[in-house]
This record gives sequence, C-alpha cells and structure tokens, in this order.
Amino acid sequence: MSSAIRSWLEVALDWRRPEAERISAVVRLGEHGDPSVVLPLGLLYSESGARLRSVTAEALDRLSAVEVLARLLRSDDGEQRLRAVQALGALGAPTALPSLLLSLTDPVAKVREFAASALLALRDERALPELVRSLSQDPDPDVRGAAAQALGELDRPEAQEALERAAAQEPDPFTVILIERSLYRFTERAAA
Amino acid sequence: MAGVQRNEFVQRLADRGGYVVVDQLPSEVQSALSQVGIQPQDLQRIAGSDGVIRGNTEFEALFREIDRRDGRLDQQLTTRGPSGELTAAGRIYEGLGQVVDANRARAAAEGGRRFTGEPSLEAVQNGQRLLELGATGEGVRRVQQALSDIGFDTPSGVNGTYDADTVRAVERFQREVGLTVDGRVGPETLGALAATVPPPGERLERSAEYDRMYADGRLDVTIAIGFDEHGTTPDRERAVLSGLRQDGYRPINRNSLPPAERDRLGLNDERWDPNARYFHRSFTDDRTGHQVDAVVRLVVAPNDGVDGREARESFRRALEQDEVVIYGGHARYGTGPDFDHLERGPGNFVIDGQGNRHGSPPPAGLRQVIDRDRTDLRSVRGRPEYQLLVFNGCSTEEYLPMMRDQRVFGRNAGNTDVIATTIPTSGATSGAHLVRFLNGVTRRESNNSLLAAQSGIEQRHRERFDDQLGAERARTTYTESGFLGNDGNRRVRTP
Repeated sequence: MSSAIRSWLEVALDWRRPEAERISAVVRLGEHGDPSVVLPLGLLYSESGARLRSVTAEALDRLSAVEVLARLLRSDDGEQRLRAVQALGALGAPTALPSLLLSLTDPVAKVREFAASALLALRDERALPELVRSLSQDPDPDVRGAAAQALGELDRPEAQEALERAAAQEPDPFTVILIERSLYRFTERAAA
Repeated sequence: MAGVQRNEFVQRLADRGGYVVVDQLPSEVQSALSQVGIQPQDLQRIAGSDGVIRGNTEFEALFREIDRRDGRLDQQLTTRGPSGELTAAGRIYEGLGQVVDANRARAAAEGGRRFTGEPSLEAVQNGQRLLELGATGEGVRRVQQALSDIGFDTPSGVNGTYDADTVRAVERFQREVGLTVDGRVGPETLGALAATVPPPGERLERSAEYDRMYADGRLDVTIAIGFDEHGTTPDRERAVLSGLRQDGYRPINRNSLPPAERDRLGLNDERWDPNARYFHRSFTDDRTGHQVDAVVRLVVAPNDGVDGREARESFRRALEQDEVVIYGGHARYGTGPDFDHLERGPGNFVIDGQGNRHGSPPPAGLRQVIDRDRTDLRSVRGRPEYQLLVFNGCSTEEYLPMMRDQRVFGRNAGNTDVIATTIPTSGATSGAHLVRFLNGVTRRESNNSLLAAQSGIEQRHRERFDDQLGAERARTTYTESGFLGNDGNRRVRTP
C-alpha cells in the first residue's frame, strides 16, 4: 500500500472528519486504490449511512471488489477466507453467487456459516439446493442455522418443505428456534 | 432574625469541592430536613445518579427546596429566630457546613494528595487558572491519571496533553457527578475529582451491584436485538443463540414446565412475554456459594423490519421487569433503540427525541416519525430495585443525559447503572458483545475487566479489516455511568 493510498484510507475511515472529505477520499481510492483497500472499504460500506455507502459501493465496483474477494476465498488461510466471505456478505453482490456456493463446503465451519449468511442477502433461488443440503447435512449447528435463515428468505415451496423436514429432525434446540422463525416467514408472507 | 442568601449558601457548601453524600447525613440534619418537609427521595432527586450533592447547580436546587418550605419564598433562608435560636433551616445549613468541611478534609487527605505540590493544579484550586484544550504538563497528566483510575479513560492514554479525548473524558466525569459540563478543569471539577478518586497508587475497581442482582436467587436478563437495514440482524440473532448454547443455557418451553418451576423462574402470566424466547441456566455465585437461576429473555426485531411494534413493547416490558437489559443494534442517531426500519415509527423506543446532541443529527425520514419532545422513558414504570442497562450501538452515550434525568426516568435513574458506547461500533460483532455481557454479569465481573474484554472484541474486528485508526479508538469503546458509588466497588493497588 503506497503512502498516499494509506492516508486516503485513513481519511475515509475516520468518522470524526466531515463527510465531504471522507467521500472525496473514497472516490480517490476507487480511482487509484489497490486490492488491499477492498477489505477496509468493505467494512466502511457495511457500517455507513446512505451517501457514504453509495460512494463506497462505486469505489468497490471500480476496484473489482467481488473478483478480489473471490480470489481471497481460494486462499489456503482460513482466516483470509473468513474475512473475504464476510466482506462478500456485506456487499451483497449478485455476481458473488458461484463463489459463495463453493464456500458452503469450506473445511472451516465459520466460513460455511457466513457463506450461508451472505446467500441470505442475495435471495437467489439458484442457491436453494445447496442451502437445503447444508440445512440437512452440515455437522455444525450454526451453519445449519444460517442455512435455515437463508431459506426463510426464498419464497419457494421447496424451501418451506425442507425447513419443515428439518424442524422434525434437527437435534439442536437452538437451531430449531431459527428453523421455526424461518417457517414463520412463510406464514407472514402468505398473510401479506 | 438572621438569614442566608442563596449565593452565600451555595458558596459555603459547593466551593473547593464541597459535597454531601445524601444517605450518610448526620441524624440532626436529617431531622431538621424532615421538619421542613424535605424527604430522602427529594435529596436523591437533587443528587442524581451518584447519590452525592455537589457543585453550584445541585446546591442551588437544594437551596430552592429549603427556601420553598421555610415559610417564605424570599431567596433567603431564615437561620435564626427572634431570640437568636437556630431554626430548622439554620440547623440544616450549619450541619451541612460541618459535613462538607469534613468531606473536604478527607478528600484533601486522600484523593487530593494526587494534586498537591503541583503548581498548575494549585493554581486551578485557587481559581487562578483553568486546565483546558491545549494545556500540557504534569498537572494534565495527574488529572488524566485520576480520571483513568475511576473509569474515564482516554484512548490516547495518560500523555500529559489536554487533547480532544481528554475534553470528552472530563465532560463524562462532569455529567456523572452533576457539575456543569464544559470539558474544562476548574476548582469545582478538581475538587469533585479529589473527592472521588482513591489516594495515589490506587484505582477504583467498579462493579455492578451483583449482591442486589442475585439476592432473590434469580437473575432476569433481557437481550434485545434491533433492526439493521444492512441485513445483519439474522447474524446477530444466530450469534446470540450460538453463544447461549456454548455457555450452557437451555431454551425454556413454558408449556412443559411444572408450575413450581415456572414460579421459580418468574415465568408467571404477569411476566411471561409471548413474543420473546426464554433461556435458562443455573450458576453458583462464587462469593456466597448460592445457586442463581439466570433467566434470559431474547427479543429480536422482525427480519423484514416492517413492524417493530411487538419487539418494542417487549423491550419496554424488559425495562420494567428485568435486572439487566442488554440492547444491541442501531442507536438511531441518539434517539433510542429501534426495532424496525429507520423511517418507520412503531419500532422506535424513544429515549431522546432530539437525537444526537453531539454527533450527526437524525435524518429527515427519522425526524418525521419522532417528535423532538418525545421520550418513552416517561412511560416506563421504573423498577424500584437495582437495574443494569447496556446499550451496544453507535455512540449510545448520547442516551445518558435523558437516562440520568430523574424527572424523565423517574426514581429509576438513581438506582440504574448504564454502560454505553463512546464511538460508532461495528454492528457485525455485536452478537458476540451481547453474550459476553451476559457472561460477565453471571460471574461478578468488574467493569475494568468486562469493558476491556468488550473493547477488545471491537478492536480485533477493526484490525481484521485493516482499520488501524478505528482499532486504536476502540480501546475505549465503552463508558459507564452510575457505578461510582456502588457497594461492590473496591480499591486496588496499581503497579
């Protein structure tokens, strides 16, 4: 990271500075930044108000953030993959779908959990079979819970059926709570 | 007949850090006070959350109370009758004078020793100068050390420079003890500091009132998760459930509970909240060896953020019923916890309708659904018993002025400790924060250790995403209010 980029990044992340200053720093990072600013900009995107958020989205786009993060998802280091999958979840980019589906079978449970969480944000029906498999077969209860949450946002009968089957079989009472909440989403939508 | 004017009264008692602890008044003063019709709760109201009357504002309020009841509203207390005998007002005035003198002497011999011999601070004490933004040197360093030793740390540490963080720390201390909040150290603030800090070489380890929390063998806790437009509400809910599982809690199914068990866990019809989930775990209180049932109510904003009415109502009930209430979610520009979309009204639990008094003001959409003068704290029938409130969101210390105002939050304010945030926190991690708080309050954890651990979670999160500046500031993510006079506090030698 060059020193100019580092100082723009500091301005962009510094919530005590005026918004206009931060916005112009983000624009510069979009024009001249390098892949290393994608993660901190992802953090900024995930916690900013509307204006700063939309400028950050543009900068991330220019930096091909989704491709950068998808590459990071193939790292040998589990912590790198976890950061990448969490950032992808925060961005909610539709083009991340194939990478996220692959991450549902990652050896690290936390990565699988946040891949399912990122799929919730995408609400893409093409993820349905993989999410059903995670819900019924993943050994980690938090991954099954995240898959249940994501399925609750897919308005498809197959999702509802899978959740009903899981509700009857799920051994972990905490995951049952998430499954029930997701099932309730179908009732809510039917009523609306 | 002799009398005392308001200024004379206030100066005699408030100057040079004069203070009185309202529940330690000598019996002569107590009986004189009740003779003019001033009850202990009137004094508590004036004293505010720290239970101490100090500073011009609070002593002026006390003067007005006495003046209102000593016969005439004439801005003067009649202290001696026609034949020179002391009146009730006179006995109050004389008695309080002795108390503040004794307190001044004690403060000078204890906490005040930190400040003696330092010329800049002696000049402050004598009213010859103020310490304020830009000042440097040993005096500043001693003030910073004193603040840090009672829980008002600055992220930049004890560095001898009166920087913006020091201004904020001084403001927090002033708000806490009921002084005028100006971020500068004059004789009143230095006096109050001397009276609050332990002697040099010791710090005050603060704790919530665990004895009172555990006294009935049950610890009632609510964890409430607000709505987040950026979609992290499900992550928080999952993280909380996962943390409860790891810490050994079990979900409660009320229908299969035997009636005796239901009563023991406090889940009778009056307390039972059909819109919440409940969890239970027993733990042993290390100090007493007694078993305590931790009963956790989990309240979650609706996934779609459409209508947060039910969750908001559950939160309100939690404020009335539970010993510990932990909120995680947006601070909503200082307006209060919120359980639906930013621009929807029903899910807002409004603490301060004005919103941020320091940070960015509420946007137009939120303004439209919240009246500036609204505060839902007024409608909460506050618990008369002790309560600990934790607000885990962005800069929730903006809530404190309303939380601490006895006219707003009823008698609860004096009996409520609050933990709030000083900076915009990252929503992504607060599921872990919420369970960590729960974990701390089931093992008598002191604020020193609990808040350091919590700040550490925020710090590591920022480091993971290469936000070094944010990580630096996250060293003091939390601030606390109401703890200074707690029974469970103890003095600890510093290395």
